Amino acid sequence: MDDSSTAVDSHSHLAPPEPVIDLRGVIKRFGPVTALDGLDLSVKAGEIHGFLGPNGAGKSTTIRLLLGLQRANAGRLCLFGRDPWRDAVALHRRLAYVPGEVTLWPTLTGGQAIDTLLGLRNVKQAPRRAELLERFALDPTRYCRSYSKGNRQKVALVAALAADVDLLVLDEPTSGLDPLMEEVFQQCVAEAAARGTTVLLSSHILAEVEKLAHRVTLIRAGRAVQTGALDDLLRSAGLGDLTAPPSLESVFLSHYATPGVP
Amino acid sequence: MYLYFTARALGGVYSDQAARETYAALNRIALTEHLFNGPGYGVDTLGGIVVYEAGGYVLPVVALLGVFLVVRHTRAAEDSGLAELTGATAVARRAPLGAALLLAAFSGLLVGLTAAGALLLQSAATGGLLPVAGCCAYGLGVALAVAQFAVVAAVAAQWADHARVANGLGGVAVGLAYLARAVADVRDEPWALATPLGWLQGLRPFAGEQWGWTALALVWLGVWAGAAFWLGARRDLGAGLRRPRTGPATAPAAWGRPLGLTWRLGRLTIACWAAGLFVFGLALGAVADGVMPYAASWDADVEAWLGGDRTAGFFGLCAVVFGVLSACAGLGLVFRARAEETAGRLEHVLAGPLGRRRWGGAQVAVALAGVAASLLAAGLGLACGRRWSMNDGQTWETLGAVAAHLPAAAAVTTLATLLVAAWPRWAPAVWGYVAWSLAVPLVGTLLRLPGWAQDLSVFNHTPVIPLSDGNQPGWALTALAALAALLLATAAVAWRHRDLPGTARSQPRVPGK
Repeated sequence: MDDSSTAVDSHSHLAPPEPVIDLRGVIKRFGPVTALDGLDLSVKAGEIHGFLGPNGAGKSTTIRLLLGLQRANAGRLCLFGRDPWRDAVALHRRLAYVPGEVTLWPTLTGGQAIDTLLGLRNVKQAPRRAELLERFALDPTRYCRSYSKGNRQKVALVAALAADVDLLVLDEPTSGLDPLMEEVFQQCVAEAAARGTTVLLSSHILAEVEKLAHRVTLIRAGRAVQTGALDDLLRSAGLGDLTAPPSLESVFLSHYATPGVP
Repeated sequence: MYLYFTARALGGVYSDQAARETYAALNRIALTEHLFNGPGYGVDTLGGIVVYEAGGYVLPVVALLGVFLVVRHTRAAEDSGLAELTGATAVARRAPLGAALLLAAFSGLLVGLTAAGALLLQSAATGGLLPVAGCCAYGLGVALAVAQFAVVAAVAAQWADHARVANGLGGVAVGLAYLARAVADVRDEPWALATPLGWLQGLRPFAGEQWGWTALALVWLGVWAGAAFWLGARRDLGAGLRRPRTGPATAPAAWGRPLGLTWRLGRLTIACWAAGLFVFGLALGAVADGVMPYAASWDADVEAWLGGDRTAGFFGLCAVVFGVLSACAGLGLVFRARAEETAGRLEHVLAGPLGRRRWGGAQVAVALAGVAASLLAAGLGLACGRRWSMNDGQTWETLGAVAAHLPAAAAVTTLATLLVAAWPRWAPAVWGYVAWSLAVPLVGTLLRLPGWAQDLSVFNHTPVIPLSDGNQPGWALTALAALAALLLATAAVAWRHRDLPGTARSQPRVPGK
């Protein structure tokens, strides 16, 4: 955890960095349902930001707003200082996205799907493609319709990680991966962060976030309930309960285990 | 539940049809009808006419029902993993196939009984004009049509490694059977009775029933069902007999562009439509010479239906049908684009530096290319067939008459585009409009539909070629093209402002909507 906090510190030496992602009081409604209810989220350049919350808390909706796929009803949204809805195409040159539930073209092979996704991102050179295929043990000659969920996830991960970007948006990227592949994934994300890539990591897997993230935001019912550096969060949780070692799980459960208490 | 409604709808069609026939003339017979409907036994009785008018269409449709039913409960269940879940319980390996076939048999029986029942009801209403034996024979034929192709689909489901492939194979089997019967009937060949749909019509409901054909059908059922079980015992769950193939590990650069990718995903569909419509056109053109001698027996209704010149009328009718069918090809491609959205792939793709309109434009371009390709292929087939059978020097005119429907077909395609772009939930309604557009030329005049109702179909506004004097084709076609462009422009605006995915998988379900 020490090396991760220094990573954050090294950035604070620079001129006051503008946050890569900056959401203030964002509201998104679907008919009578309010998916996001005044969400605040700030992700600094170069950090791995864990984005945590139970199912239906609004994580995927937030990501769709950030990608300009949906439009917020109210609030301020900034991605690299620009409007994600209006400047979607220009902003998307700087990011790569891994959806939570990857569906691929059934009649294409895995390798073809990777090349297609890279091509649609205007990536000409994908220096890490072959290396990543090997690390994730993915056979690129098989047709996508015969892939398991984990293999489809790997295709999206290879396509996202093969070329350099400024921002990685990962929506529960490891669902369906086995523990070995999850380990590979964590190495890859850590390497990306070392190259200076900012990462928004939405996840259920607390151990993964605890291992990777510099800062975390916990959301519940479309609102951020806690945000801050991971170490601070753990320290504050540890004060309350001296019998158990402080863990992200205890922080998480303190927010969600007792309904009605924010 | 689904079957109940299907059957009820069928019943509705029958009573309608029967009522209609009593007041329409009794002796309308044309060879084109032989093509679509079959030989027509006992068309001098009400029962014969009902069977003839409705029967020819019903058999292949219920046959497809049998195909989809079996594939859904065998191969599709394996694809989705459901079969693995049930297979792990105390259920025998061959049980799912047996259950699917039983279900198909039961559905066939139900549809057959409903068909027979509807005819009997109608008979009671019209004072016993439809003999009981005929009603039963027709019901039997319908039930056997479901079963005969259900067993074919069962074999396809063992061979194929994916539900879509199995459905496609089953559909091709039905199409081939229908085509074989159609060609044989038009040429008045006795081997029409040797085709799976032909021997069902050989049961001759209302025309001296020949029950012996049932035995042949039962032999067919036994052979195919046996083959399905035999093959089923020789493969793994979730895998077909066809080994899963591997393919190239890299993609050409063109697929990294929206147009290239859309073309790659749609090209097989387009090729199938074009090839199918070319064969269909060729068949219609080739039998055209046989249609004309029957013209003497047509009555005033048919006269009005085809217009003054029978040859031109026949080809004009073919042209409209091809126009509508090519619009169906376009619709299929537009709904494929919608499927990219509902499957979640669109989100993934649009997270790249790719504008929505550029993606949407590629979809529309490929859909319209598909419309044009299928329409031209159909026109080419019809023209070649005409040249072969009639050789009346009208080859290019025939092609032109079919191609003239391009703006109308494009307008329907862009209507579907607008619906998908703005109100995706309502988009499937466009199929209803297409069905209407097909009904207008086929039965519009016969049913004496009011002019405005017929004019709702855009295909009614395409000028008929060859042009009569003073008939200016230009502005009607321009107007249709302008309509298509307007629909497209509206779609482009709506598309830019919609949330994606609209009515998404993971969005909260809105109650009361």
